[in-house]
Amino acid sequence: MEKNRNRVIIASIVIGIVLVVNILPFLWLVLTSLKTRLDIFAIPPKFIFDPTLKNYVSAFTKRDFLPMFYNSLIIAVSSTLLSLVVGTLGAYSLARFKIFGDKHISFWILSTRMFPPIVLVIPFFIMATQMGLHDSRFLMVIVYTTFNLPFVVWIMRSFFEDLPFDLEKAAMVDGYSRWDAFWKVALPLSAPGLFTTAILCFIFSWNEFLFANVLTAANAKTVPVGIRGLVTSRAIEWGEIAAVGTLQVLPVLIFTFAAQRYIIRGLTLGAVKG
Amino acid sequence: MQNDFNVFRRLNFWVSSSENKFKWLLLLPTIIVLALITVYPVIYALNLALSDYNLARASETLQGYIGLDNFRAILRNPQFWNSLKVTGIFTVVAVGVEFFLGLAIALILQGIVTNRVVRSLVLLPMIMAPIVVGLAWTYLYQSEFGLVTYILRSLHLMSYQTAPLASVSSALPALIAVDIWEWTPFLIMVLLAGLEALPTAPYEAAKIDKASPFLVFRKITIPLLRPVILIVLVLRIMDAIRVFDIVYALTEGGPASATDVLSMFIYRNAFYLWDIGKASAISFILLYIIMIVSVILVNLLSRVKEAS
Repeated sequence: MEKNRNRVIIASIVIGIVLVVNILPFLWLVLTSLKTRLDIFAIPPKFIFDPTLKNYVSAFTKRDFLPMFYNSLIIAVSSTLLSLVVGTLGAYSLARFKIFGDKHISFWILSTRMFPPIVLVIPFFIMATQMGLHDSRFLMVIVYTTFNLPFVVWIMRSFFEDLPFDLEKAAMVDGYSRWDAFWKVALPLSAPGLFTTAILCFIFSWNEFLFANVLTAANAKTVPVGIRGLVTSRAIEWGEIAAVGTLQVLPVLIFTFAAQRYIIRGLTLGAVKG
Repeated sequence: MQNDFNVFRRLNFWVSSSENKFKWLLLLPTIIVLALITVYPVIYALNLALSDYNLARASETLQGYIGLDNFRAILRNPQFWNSLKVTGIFTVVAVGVEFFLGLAIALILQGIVTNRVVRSLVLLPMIMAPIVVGLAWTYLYQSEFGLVTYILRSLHLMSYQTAPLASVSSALPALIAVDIWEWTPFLIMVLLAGLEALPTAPYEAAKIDKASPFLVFRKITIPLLRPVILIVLVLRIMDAIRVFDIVYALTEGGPASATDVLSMFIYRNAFYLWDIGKASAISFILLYIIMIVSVILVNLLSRVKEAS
């Protein structure tokens, strides 16, 4: 009993330290976003100050972050939907049927997920320039599908494999077609998986920087590129970086909380069922 | 001829069975889309890697197809070997520390911390956009008013003449520290999930035998946890080898190439120097390294799976 209580105390201390270390840099970002220029450059750094919303206001008035948030949203949602529609079908097929060479197909799909983005961004840059697609939202949707689609296939396959096949069999005995057994039985039952997958695809796209930095300039510019754009050779706008950074993280934080139950499973491509 | 006959039968089966048509109908869109948006660009990039393709030079001076010349030039470039070394150190140290820290913390928290809010907050660093992580830490490391710099100086761990990202000797450790901050929570959560899914029977048997905690850990926990450990190491190593965003935000490879990881080196060659051909060639070397590492790790993984 004594030993157990000690363990709880130690664990509480450790989780306390972990949380402080985890949250402090983010908290500092939020605090910085509420500081005046004078407070931002204060030495020693200030924890207590008169908060101001000036940085938030200037990010949306002096700079055009509103269209960037719109771009980020449109691109992330479109790529997520495209990947879900195509990938869920592929995932179901790989989960339910023996396919000639299915191991190789699965491995190939996984390997595209492991691709370093720097390898793809160069050919995409040249091809997009030649086709006149540079700096378009359409291009970004396609590019983000390169990592979202393999992700959807892998994770949804793991969710479908968890469903007992008997339910679909029973439905087919009752006269459902093969498609109906998928559409009306398997798909609704894997709704939590679908939901988590959608959220993770959205987060990956919403946070992506390298592709967007190379492949967009003005029209399709996304929030991460805009934030980095506040670092110039003349000055670094820390207050605005912090303000937009805070707003950028906020939806991700809410989504993570909503999908928390399956997020570890998603991030390990279905391998670890946390 | 036995083989030919099998192929024929399989083909026949494929044509006749509606089930088979159904499964291919579902899978084909994925295959076609992936082929168009990943396989085709890679072939295109290979073409670029074998060409003299430089957007900074006049097109008349370019030589077109030059075979393996780009690769030869890279292997002679000391900058490339520096990048390889930096990427290697970054990957081994960052993933190594993250793993041991993550395992230790997961073992301490096992079975105790189950609160949803706490678990979501632990995930915070890894769900933030890496570019925002990088910029937030650039601010923390800032040479005059950065909070981390200030703390380090207050503790006399760093002099006033230098800052974490300013000196060649401290820039890479500072970068690795950011990666450790960003990804240790992932290791904690995955290993915690793995630990909580372990069967209880071996532990009860060990209790009856009065085995020491260390022996239980070494003989039961580690072998049972090995598949999870390998998966999480595969994912982390792949991510660490291709790290870009936090490097771009924190140092852009500097000072004096001290943090010039491969992705950054490629990016600079492609989009600062506009040497597309050479940059593509280096990116193929990176791809090759990732493929070798992944094949080794996946083989290790399947052997472990068979053994258990």
